[in-house]
Amino acid sequence: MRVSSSPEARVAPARIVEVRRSLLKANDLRARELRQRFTTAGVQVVSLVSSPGAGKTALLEVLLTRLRRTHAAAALVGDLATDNDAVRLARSGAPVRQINTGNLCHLEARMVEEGLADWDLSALDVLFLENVGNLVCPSAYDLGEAERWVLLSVTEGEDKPLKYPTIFNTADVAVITKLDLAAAAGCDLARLRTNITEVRPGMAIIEVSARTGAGLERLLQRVLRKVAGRLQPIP
Amino acid sequence: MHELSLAMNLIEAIEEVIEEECAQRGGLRVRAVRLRVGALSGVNADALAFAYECACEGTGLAGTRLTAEATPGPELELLGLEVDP
Repeated sequence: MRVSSSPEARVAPARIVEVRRSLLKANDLRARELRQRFTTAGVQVVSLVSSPGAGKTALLEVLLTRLRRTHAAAALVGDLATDNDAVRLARSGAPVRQINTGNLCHLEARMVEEGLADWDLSALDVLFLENVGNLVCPSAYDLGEAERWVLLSVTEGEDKPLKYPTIFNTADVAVITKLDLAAAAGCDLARLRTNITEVRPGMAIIEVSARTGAGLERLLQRVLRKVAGRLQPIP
Repeated sequence: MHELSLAMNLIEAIEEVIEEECAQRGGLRVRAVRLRVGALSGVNADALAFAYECACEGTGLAGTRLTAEATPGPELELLGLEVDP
């Protein structure tokens, strides 16, 4: 009898179990359910992603304040540790809820589902989901939103889209914030726009300033395109 | 950046496969795990392998190898398992 001395030869070759399953499948399925719920309830859901400090909360404050005059708008806000943002947004008078992600760097569909809990979605026209400040991780997690806006401020450098192409490729609109600071920050807006369309040709770009109100009308129109005809003036 | 939570998802997915396979054929011992990691997935394969190693410690998957096939797209998939015959 021939005995092989090679250790490899003694190990029987492995059997392969084929799987082919996305690691994000669980999240994708939950997101699909959420999207269905949002559609059925007739609520337009917009998520906001950006680096920390790009102005998500400041923009939402003014958007919620404006929307509240004519529509039912609400927000779910993700943050690592505090409820500071929720407190700020609640000043607009809109219903706001905080999701503490507990050091997790992004929102997941499960957290949105839990955060919504007992909210009556059919009473809402617009719901904003403010993600954790992070341009990397949120790109992989579908939250069931109808639109994803990626915000970048004029102080962040014109090459930001080139550095974080994935988030620009998963978002629907690029919102350039803090427009009132563009000159002071020496921001070359034309170059910034070129860099955005370089990573995502044809991407919608809206320039705004939460402080001066510039560009807000375009954003509001965009949100309300789908909810027009559901005017609910608030006395 | 969120490789640890992905590694936990991965372990969950592997455990599901093991359970399905065990129900059909009895025992199963995993030698290696094959992944497909797309360039647009936002995931670093080395960081994921490290997170996987840490998350596996003390479980039946400890010591299993993770191999990642790099692809150009957004996919992040558990392709299959190499198991004892």
